[in-house]
Amino acid sequence: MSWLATRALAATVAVAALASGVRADGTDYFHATPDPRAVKLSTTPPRTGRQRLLIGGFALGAAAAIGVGVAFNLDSRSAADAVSARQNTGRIWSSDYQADYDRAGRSGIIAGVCYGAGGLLLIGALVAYWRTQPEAHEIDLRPGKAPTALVVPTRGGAVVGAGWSF
Amino acid sequence: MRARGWLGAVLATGLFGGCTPEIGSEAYFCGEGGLCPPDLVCEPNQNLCVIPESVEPFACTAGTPPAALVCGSNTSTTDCIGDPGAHVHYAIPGCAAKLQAKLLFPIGLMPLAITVRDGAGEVVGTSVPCGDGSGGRTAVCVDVPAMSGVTYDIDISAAMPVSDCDGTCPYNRFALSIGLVTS
Repeated sequence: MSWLATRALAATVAVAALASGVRADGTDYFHATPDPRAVKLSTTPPRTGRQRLLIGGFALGAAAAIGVGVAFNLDSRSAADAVSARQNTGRIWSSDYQADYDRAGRSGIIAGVCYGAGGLLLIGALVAYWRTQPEAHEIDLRPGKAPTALVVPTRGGAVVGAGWSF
Repeated sequence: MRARGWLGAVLATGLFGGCTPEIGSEAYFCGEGGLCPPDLVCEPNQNLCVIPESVEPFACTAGTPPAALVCGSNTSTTDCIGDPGAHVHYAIPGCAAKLQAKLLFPIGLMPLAITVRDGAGEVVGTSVPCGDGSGGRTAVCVDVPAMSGVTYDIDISAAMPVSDCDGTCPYNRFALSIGLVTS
């Protein structure tokens, strides 16, 4: 038993010594250490034309539906105001007043339907905007060699920059 | 400023409702044939559109008989027609003048007419519409030349063809003014 324990301890010590030797070597085989010369570039691609068309269509439809709704709402209110009365008006109820009364109700219903459709289209536009949001991509630019300094003389000064090759 | 005005207009419309007309009881007089706004009915005694609970049965209070007429004078009275076949007669002794009569009655109940007959019973004049009266009433008038020695019969009855709101208003009340107008 003692013999077995001694052999196991010796093996453990040997492996630990080898492992520390490898780490001390300094070679980064997996590029885990960030390259101080690398440049991280974050880019967001634009929406496709089809996506823009979809969002624009929803938004335009919502605006049109709400606009039509407002027009019918105003018409309904106008007709309702023409016949609404709490006190004696001294007027005789006629078929013209009845037509105004009916128009107030009809236009009110159309306005409500338009508002509903406009609301749905607006929600559709917001959902489409959200769902078609392009994801940002991060590009890690690693220079193949040391950057090249650029100095371009200009009138009264110079433009200083650096160039990398990949 | 313009945008604010538009915004105000949109908000003022009350975007989510508020466009149903609000008509109170007694706000309107009954229209032809007892026409009233929805949910209101014609009250035959006031000739007003009211809530159904406020309706009273038609009642008639006859006025005093018309005073005797002489040339150049006029008189008036009130009375009722209780059913489509009823007639109310007034005998007017003629003179060398124009016999003029004007009948005012609520437009919401059974329309009425005047027929003028001479002593022999011949029709010498029938009424024609002559404008709207106040208080939800309408008017019909007749104007015929009269002669002395002839007694004219002024006959008030339902206008033909009879329109009695499909049987719900087979009655009406009226105010009649009669004059013998010398030129």
